[in-house]
Amino acid sequence: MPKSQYVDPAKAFDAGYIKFTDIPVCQYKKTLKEELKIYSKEDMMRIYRDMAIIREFETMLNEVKVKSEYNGVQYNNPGPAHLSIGQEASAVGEAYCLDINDYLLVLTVLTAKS
Amino acid sequence: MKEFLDGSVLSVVEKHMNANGNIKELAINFLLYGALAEIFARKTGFNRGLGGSMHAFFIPFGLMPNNAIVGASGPIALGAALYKRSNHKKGIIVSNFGDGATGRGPVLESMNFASMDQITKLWGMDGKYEDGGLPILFNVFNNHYGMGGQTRGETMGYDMVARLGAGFNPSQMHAERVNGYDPLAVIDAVTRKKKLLLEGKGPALLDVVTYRVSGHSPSDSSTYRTAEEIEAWKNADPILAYKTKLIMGGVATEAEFDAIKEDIVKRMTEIMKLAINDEISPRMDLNKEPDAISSIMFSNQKVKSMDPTREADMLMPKEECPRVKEIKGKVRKSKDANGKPVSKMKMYNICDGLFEPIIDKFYEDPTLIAYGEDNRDWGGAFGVYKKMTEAVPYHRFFNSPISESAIVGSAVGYAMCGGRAIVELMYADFIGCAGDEIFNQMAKWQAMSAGILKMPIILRVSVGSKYGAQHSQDWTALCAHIPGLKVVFPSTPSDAKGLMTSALEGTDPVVFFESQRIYGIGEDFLENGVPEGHYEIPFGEPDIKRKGSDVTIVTIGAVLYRALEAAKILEEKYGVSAEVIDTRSIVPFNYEKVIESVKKTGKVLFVGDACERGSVMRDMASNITEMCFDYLDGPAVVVGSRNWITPAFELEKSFFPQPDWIIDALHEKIMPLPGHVPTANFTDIEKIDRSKKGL
Repeated sequence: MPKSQYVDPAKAFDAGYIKFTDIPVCQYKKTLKEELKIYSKEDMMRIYRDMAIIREFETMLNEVKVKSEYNGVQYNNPGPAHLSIGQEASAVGEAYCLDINDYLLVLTVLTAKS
Repeated sequence: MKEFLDGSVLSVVEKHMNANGNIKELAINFLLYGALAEIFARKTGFNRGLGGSMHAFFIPFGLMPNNAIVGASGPIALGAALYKRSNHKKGIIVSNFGDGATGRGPVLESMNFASMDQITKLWGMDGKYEDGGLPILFNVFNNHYGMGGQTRGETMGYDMVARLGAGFNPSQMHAERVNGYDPLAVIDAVTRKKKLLLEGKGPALLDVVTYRVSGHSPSDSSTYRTAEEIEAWKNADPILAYKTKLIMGGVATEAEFDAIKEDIVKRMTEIMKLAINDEISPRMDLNKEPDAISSIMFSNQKVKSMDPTREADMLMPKEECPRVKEIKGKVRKSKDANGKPVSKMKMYNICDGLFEPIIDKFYEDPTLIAYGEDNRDWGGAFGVYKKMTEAVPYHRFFNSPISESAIVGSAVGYAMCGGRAIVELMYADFIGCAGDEIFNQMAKWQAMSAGILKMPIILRVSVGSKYGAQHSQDWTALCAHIPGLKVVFPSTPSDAKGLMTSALEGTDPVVFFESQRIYGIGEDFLENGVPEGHYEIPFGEPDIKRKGSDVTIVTIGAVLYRALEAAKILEEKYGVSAEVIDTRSIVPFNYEKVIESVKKTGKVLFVGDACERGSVMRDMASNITEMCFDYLDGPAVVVGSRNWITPAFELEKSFFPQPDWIIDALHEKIMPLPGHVPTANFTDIEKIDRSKKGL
């Protein structure tokens, strides 16, 4: 404990309550019309494309794993594949906000899972 | 992209794919190909195929390593945030993990560590440096399951992940739960959290609700959920829902989406063909390049400063640092010019030997930070950092919470970003509390990254005595067993200084063992005392502490002084001349000096305070037996502690190797000493019996 901070027995036993504030749960309510003021069509389509790329990448891995084939190309991958099909919107939404100064640490392939 | 792995990843996509001269398209091809080639264990992958699917990353784009250990990225992300904060760098850190990982101690430790009061209350108290919170977003992709365990409703009790925020600090980590099936809702939330973080109001927590319709892995047969549940989530598909929203809103037409999809399938097929082509994307050939992995286990570089462009933040000039002044007045040997012992107060000891290179490096390398439990005002439990508080600002030197996982794991993240860190575990026994961080993270990332990452971390661990079973263990063998760690154990002030200097100049992770028995000891061996100024001892070189001709005694750590006592008795009582070699380093280790000595003496004992079974002494004895078989008069003998718990201080002499044990072992196993009556039992019968009992 640094000396600069005095631990005062006269205050340590003060009566009171710990107060919490409300934690927002799914409070996002913007309409597409409102969002179009923020994003251009190009932005909107980029978001779609990034999600679709992740979906396709993982679909490919899954098909290689399950059928040893993707779009007519055959391959056997003995290594693991931990997929996150369904989580693309979460990943792309997050990545959209990051820039060159930011670091992203993840847990498995394209989005965190466990 | 051009410089990354000498352009080997980029050249594949440049040569074989058409990006129409568009740099962003090229980057997408690069990212997808580099990741896929890595997943398929190709040499052209982001980490030459050495990381694999569970660890792919690409730092130039800010994508830090994935971790196959659930929750291990929590402390690493914390370390990255510390790097930003302590080095005044722009940007935020996002730590992604799943809801399953919220059950992991390292994750919870990291949330607390990132929230600790001192960052906003004390780090800016000198008025010279900023006082904002850590810029880290703990982002939980909450897909409702670990592997098959359902978090909400089964394995956790928080109802919603966002509730955790309320437990960590008064701002409740600005926690929020958001709809992760809507990219715009996620962007909305992350944008607001990022703003808070850049304003110095971190850390933040997001509970992003999502779902994986795929299994955890291909072996997942979804026995833990119903087909109905999967179907319902498939129907809510976020990509389809988003597309429908844009079409209904008149933003784009179905045909435009179809064109995008067609392009993606085409691109993915091309990339897959490239990644499975053995000529374009070869695997590492360990027959042709047998050293390919050996050469990246350590980086073995010497780097004075991890950032030579910046001045180090310090609170006073080095000459004015009170501890530096104090050491100036100390005698750098254990005895004065007349051979009289120097008083404890005046004697330069092992603590001073550790302190000198550390304070020098604080002035030389602006990225160096040091932390651990009770490091700052207390000066570390054993006083190595005594009076350092006055000179080093808080953001470079602080007390950590009692969170060993977060202490070591954050150092790994700090090093990944390009910094250098010294972290401390008060007792070596606490290695167990940071097992994953030491053995899987600190040890492995240099090689798993194909040598892209450097890991200049010194983990100081102190071996206790007097404190019984959980505070007195020498765990050098555990650390030496794991490939990728350097391990040293000095036992004199000069060796402590020389090895600490080498550790600090290097770029590899070092587990630096110290012994509480000998922190206060002075320099007995170097005639001119502990060298002043810069003094390096290369890792791996043992040192002959006493010359002799009849028997070789090799020691690890503080047992050196008991071995010297034994050597003295052997000389005086039995006329046997013992050569005592202090290993100093364990990994790496150069056997040549020991071999040379054994060729001369034909007899060798290995002595250390670790429990004998599976010890480093055993390993070394086995190697020396192989290498010196023709020169040995008897077996290479090991004298270690009993395979027991460490008993109370009063009983320690029956547990740790004593001088007479060394003599007994020599007498019973190698060379009978006329008239010697042993007290310890080193006979084969005893050994077999103990082993049968697991002792």
